[in-house]
Amino acid sequence: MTGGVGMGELQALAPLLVVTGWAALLLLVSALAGGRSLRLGPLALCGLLLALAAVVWDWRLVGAGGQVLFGGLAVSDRFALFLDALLLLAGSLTVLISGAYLDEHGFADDAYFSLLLLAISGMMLLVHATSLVMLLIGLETMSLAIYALVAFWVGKATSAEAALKYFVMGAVASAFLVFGVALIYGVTGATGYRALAEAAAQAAGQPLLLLGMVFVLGALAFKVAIVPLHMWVPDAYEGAPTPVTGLMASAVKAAGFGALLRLLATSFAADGLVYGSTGWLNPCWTLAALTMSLGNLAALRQPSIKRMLAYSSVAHAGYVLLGVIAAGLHPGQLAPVLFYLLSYAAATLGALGVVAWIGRREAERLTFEDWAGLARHHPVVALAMTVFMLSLAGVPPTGGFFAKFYLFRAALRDPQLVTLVVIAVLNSVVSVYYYLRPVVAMYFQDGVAQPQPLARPGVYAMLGLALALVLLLGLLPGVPLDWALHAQLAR
Amino acid sequence: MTKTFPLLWIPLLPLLGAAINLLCGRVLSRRAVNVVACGSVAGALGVVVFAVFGRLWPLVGAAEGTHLPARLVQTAYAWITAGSVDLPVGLVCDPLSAVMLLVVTLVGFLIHLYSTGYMAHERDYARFFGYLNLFTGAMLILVLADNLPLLFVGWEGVGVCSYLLIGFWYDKDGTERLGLANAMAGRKAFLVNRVGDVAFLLGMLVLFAATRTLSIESLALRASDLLLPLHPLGLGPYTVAGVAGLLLFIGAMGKSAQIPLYVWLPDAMAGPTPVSALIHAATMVTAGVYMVARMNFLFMLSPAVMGLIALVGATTALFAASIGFAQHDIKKVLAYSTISQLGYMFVAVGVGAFSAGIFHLFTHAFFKACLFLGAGAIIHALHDEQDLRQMGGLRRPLATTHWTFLVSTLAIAGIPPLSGFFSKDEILWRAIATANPALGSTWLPALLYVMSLAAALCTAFYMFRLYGLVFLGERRGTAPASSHGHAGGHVGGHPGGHAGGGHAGGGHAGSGHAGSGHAGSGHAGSGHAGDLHLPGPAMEAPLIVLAGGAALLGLLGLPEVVGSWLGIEHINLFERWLAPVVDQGARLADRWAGGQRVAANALAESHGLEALLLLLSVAVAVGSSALAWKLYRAGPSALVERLTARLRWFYRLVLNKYWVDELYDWTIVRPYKALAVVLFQLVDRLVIDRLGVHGTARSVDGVGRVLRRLQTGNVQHYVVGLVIGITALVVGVVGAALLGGGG
Repeated sequence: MTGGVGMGELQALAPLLVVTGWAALLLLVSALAGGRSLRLGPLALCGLLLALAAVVWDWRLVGAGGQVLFGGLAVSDRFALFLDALLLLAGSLTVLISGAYLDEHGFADDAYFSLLLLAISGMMLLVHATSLVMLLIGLETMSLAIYALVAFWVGKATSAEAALKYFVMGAVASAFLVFGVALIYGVTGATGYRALAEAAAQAAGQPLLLLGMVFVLGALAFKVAIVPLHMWVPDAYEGAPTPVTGLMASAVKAAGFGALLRLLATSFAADGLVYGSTGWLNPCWTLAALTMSLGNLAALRQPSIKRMLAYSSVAHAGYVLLGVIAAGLHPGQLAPVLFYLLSYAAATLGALGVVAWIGRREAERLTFEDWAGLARHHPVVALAMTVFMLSLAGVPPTGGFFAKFYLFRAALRDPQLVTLVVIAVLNSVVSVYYYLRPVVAMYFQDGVAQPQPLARPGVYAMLGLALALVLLLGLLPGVPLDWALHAQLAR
Repeated sequence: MTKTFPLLWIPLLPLLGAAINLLCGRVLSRRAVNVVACGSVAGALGVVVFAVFGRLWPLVGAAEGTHLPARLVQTAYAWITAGSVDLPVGLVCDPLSAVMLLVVTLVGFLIHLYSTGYMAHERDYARFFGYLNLFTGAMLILVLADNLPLLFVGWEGVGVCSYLLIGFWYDKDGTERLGLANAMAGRKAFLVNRVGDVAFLLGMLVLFAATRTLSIESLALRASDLLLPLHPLGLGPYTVAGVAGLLLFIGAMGKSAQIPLYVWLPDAMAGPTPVSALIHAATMVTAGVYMVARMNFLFMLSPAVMGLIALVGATTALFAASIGFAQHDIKKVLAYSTISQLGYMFVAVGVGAFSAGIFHLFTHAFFKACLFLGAGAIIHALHDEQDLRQMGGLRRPLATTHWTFLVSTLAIAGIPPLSGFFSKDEILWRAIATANPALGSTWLPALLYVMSLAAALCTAFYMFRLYGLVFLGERRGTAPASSHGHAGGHVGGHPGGHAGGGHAGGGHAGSGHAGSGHAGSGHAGSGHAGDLHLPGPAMEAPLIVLAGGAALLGLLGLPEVVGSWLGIEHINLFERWLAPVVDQGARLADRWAGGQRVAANALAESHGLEALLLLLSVAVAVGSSALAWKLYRAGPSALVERLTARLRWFYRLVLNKYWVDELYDWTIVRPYKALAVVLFQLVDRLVIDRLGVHGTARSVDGVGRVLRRLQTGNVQHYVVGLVIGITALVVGVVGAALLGGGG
């Protein structure tokens, strides 16, 4: 356990190592190129696919029980590997569409792809972490890279503004996280999750421990955009380059929820920390209800599709939080949440992919009027967008339907969550309204001029993959659900 | 005797064709669309033929004599896995589905082929064939499904395609009024079917609640669960089989156009004629009959529901046939005829003669498709004229159409030895020779028999009336000068015709037209071939094949009495082929219901009686046909005019289809609409919209606007918000802990 790092541990961490190494490689290549534009997209994609292969390899290697690494600092279990695959998939789709997007909007791509891979490596660390210190490192690696990516739109004021806001607020959130870790360490003397679980069970009810717990959970809640810590979302999502928005909505959210799930299901799973007036159950219940309701209501009247999708991501965070609560109450019920994260990632990446597709330099085309009559000129893309919207709304035969179905059904097992499920269902009904707005615009309104979208192979490949994934999840939900069912936490 | 076979390809091929034609149809040439549409169905036909004759046939032979089912199966993939529910996309091809598969793919292919000629001048060519392929795929899923939810997918799929195709000409010739009527017809079909579909869904839920399974095979294994008592709505007790059977049958009523849910089918004739032939005659509307036969074990456990099915069927057969007397639109006559024939099929399955019902379905698919396609050729030739009063004398110019139409007319009228005679007579015989323990063993068989025989009489009469009016005598009415500019003339030319405006004056209008037609026939005589739009080989070949089927296929199901004359046992090949599937219900009922089931009565033993009744039906069919021939040989004869004048009130009643549409309109549609308006204004507009959604959104909007004005985009305020948020959390959790600790 102590001392040197074994071969087995390196193997178990291979996906993470590949992505990190590849990020460095990309940086090196662009440094050597000395300012020439290189189109590093395909190379970055290779790295992500290689890491994906490593995930598949590790899936068998670590087995159902998982493998504890570095004396309990991190773990490689199927839960983390499932999320790794999700993150890599989201990263691949983002890379696919980024090349054309960077060209079109005239960004230099020297650091873009290495930042993207660095962000993903941070996220992967986040889901593998089983110690508060690793959690902190992962979160910061991810966040710093994402700040830079949000600001990548050089010369566009909203991009810089979004990045600055996100950065300042993220720094405050990180401060809370560090402070929370310090408090927890002070009370229990532990940072590793397993030790923490034992110590916290003894110290449950200690105000300082609770304070630390709230700070840590609050910082994570900030990353996944739980109301009332969501204010940065609309600005950051709207100002960021669209592929980065997709990455934030899909991967950052998945990684944050992965970390939350692990924390709640292991370290903070003691009865005293869950139930009663001092547990996290009631606050989280309230936050989930608030998040889905406010997210949906705010999305109703947004004039910009990108901003609407930003609020939609807030609303979905509320649904996922409902699943996280259910999983926290009944450890082992992780599959519905994982399935939901996968399905949401596919649909939102696809939707933002269409947003990236339709926008040209100097004309991002974000309002509903800009989309009017799109179905006439581009029936296939319009159909794909419709499928993404239906999936986000949870209409069969898309993945979103089964995601909501499994999630709500798992939550209904617990009598304390019935009311919350009812709220969630009502919210999904409301959400249909705004998800159908682009559909109505595309199919039932007459367009002013024929749009000239970003017709590039990478973009279409990305949209096609996202569409295939959404439909696959809806038509063959059994297969990915089976994987998710095997994705258990290491005990 | 179960083997696996890649059955999924059968529905997949047409579905792929549909995907290609619907997604890329606009860039494909018409020839490419033809190849994709006909080729995919022909491919499915090839797979079906190979599966049935190459694979299933030997299995059936090997399983004969045992009670083992012979079938081909495939579990394509796990569709839904949720707790105890495990629903695979499971396909099964047994003798019953094999018959349906052959009908759907063969008749479907012929109609696709025919459509390449019929629709040649239409725009939206690819859309039409895409829908047609989609329909074929959905119908094949329905037929192949081994569980009820998958069957329901096909059931709804064909419903959607029916809707899409009825309203295909939603902007016919750019005339909004005509197009709107078509779209409304599609909507009506869809809505009436929904009534049945809801019942079907409820039936599935009842079955699932009682047995925890929806796989048809497993349901048959749980016959004891199906006999458990239920108290629906506090009534009862009824058995699960009774309640579920009734609900499923209501579903079948909608899909197969039985009283009281038949009203959509005549309107559905608004679709292109090949659609009427394929969907609204040969395949989709028979899905209800197929479903009842497929679930025969369930229905056999509930004699009361069986009795109801038979009664509804017989009533529909007679009622619809009587309406067929007075219709002026060639397609409407055929539509009521279809409803009537479907009624026969329900009589058959209602008396437990499942194979006779499927046999009639089988023969009906051929002769009715042939009749519809023939009608299509006539309509095509006359430039979209559908009014019988404008036809006549088409015998010579449309020779092929005429002969095939005549063969099919003879078949449907029940003239031996054509197919319709054998299949219909089997049903009549089984109706009188079967007793139902729930409804007594004397009056019901007699009643069913008399009603069915009366319907047969009507059928022969109105079919030969139709034949005479179309083909015999002289051409009536004025032929359009050219196809160009025809649509306007059609609408304006005879408003009293089939647009529905001729309610009151129908009789007069009819005679008036006939008179003027005679006057006009002099100059029309010379231009016959010139102004007619003659069908090409793509349209004539399917007619010939279908007429051949209509003539010969009856030999597959010769009655037993013929066998006894010839000294051949089991002469009814069709019954022998289906026996392993459809006898399952009788076996189960014997075992679980103590023999309380629909079964043959004392009459069934008498070959003498069977022969006598056979002769009686021949006499009825021939006599009735001959009468109609005589009366309508040269247009409506003077006798007809006098009769309709004498029985004006009755004629008007029938002409207006017993005012059933109006009755539904006043008792159901209007009250429902009024209720909807009230709910919309009160609940939707006021409570949900104004107070709920808009109110909340506006207040959220307001809050957002206020916040925005406060912040003016300053990041400090966001941070303050963040801190406030976390503080609120802290206060919530830690404060509660302190209070809890203190108290």
